[in-house]
Amino acid sequence: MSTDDERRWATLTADALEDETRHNARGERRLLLLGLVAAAVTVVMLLLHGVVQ
Amino acid sequence: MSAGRKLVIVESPAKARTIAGYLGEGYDVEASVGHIRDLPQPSELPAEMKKGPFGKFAVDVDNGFAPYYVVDSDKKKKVSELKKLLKDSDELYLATDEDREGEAIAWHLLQELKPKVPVKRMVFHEITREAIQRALTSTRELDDRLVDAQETRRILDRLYGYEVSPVLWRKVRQGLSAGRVQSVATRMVVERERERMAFVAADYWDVTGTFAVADAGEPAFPARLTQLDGRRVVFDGSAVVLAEEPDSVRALWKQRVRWARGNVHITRRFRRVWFRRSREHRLGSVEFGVIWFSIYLLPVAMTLAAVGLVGLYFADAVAATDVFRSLWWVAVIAYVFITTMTLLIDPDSARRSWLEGLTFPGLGALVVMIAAWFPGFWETTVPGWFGLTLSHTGLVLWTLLLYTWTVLAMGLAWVVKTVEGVPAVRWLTKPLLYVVGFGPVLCAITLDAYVKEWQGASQVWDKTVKTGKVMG
Repeated sequence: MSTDDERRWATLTADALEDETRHNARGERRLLLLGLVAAAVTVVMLLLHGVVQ
Repeated sequence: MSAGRKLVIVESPAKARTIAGYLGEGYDVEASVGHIRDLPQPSELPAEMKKGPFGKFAVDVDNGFAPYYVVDSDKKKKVSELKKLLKDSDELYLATDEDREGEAIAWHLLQELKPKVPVKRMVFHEITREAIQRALTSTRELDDRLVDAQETRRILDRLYGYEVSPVLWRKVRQGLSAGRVQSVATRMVVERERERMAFVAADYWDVTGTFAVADAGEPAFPARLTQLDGRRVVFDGSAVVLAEEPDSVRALWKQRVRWARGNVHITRRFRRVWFRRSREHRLGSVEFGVIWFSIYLLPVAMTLAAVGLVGLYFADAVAATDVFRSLWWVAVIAYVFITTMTLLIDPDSARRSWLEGLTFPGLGALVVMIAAWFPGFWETTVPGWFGLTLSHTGLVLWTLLLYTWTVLAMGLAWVVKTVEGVPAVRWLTKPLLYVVGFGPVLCAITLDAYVKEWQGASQVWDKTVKTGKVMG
């Protein structure tokens, strides 16, 4: 990360910092949810396969 | 003026009574009862001052932070009493506490009483007859430095109270007050914390290489890259690189073979490191080794699986079917999970390239997956739609085709690259690429890199032509 980025972080206002933290937390939650959705799709596919067979 | 009377002013009435007892006749000992003057509330300022420089804080911030003091309304009577007593005295002893506040109280008394008699600053650290008598004989001047310190403290409190505290009321809770020390300390902590958050731990590396000179007569020379464009070389795990992509299979092949040969070099260079844990690096960790070799040896694994399946087929066809189905079941589950995840994770790219995403393993591999999941689908069901039946030879050939698809796909990937170089059949490149899939192309490239390394092929760097189109 460049020095400019560091300076930007260090000078972020409290609100901006909070936004950034919230945004990152949202991203992590989204990834977790997507992982669960993908796993669910995989399980549904396995179940459907069992039914068809 | 009453001859010989002396006025002694202390801070508290209790002290005044005790000290009066020790000093006896000739001394009037009075208490100021704390401060007699202070900065007024802006509402208490005289009307003509409210719009002036003192109007906001009772401090003229633009002119050396000059304060404007008024006698507290409940102290006016006390000041009058003191003035009256002073008229009857021929000496004034200011005996307020010997600290910053006490010195300031003494100064304010001086300012307000305007004594015309000699003034002495009297200090003591214990209230005993001896101590008081001693203090009386060893008086001193008022200490302006302490007075200034108190005034500065008071002004700062006023500025913080009026400017910073309201922020706390809005942001945290009503009634809180910001301190001149805590506020600065908090700011320092916050700045330090932000610096900590902004700090990016990075490993700084020097890249060392040995370079052979094209002219065989010249010796090879070592060189070390420590800077790039005047900057330290740093590995940043969070860096985002918008890369230009090669625009043809041949260009991709050339680029990736170079990368894959680099992987062969690295694997060989660190041969004593793999799967040997070390505190100094992570290359030896089991997890890293498993990931590295899963990719590095994938073409080998695919080839061995195909050879094993064919061998088993001739030994025990039923067992071969079971193994084939088990292996491809794993592939199907991984395919569904990875494809769903990647399409969901980046909806924009998914909308743009969903077909490429779905056909990443190749249409051929998808056919094999269906064969593993629905036994008889290709051999019986599909021919049945057309009223056909697969012959025994056809069935054997089809089965062998399914079992060896992983190897065939790599061979076909090489055909795709070759076809692209022949203008007459270049149109076949794209449909063939969909059949083979991008995954097998990458595996074939890795295999090619092994072969080139084994052959000791020349490694002259030849820049890959890029489209200049950045996909990000």
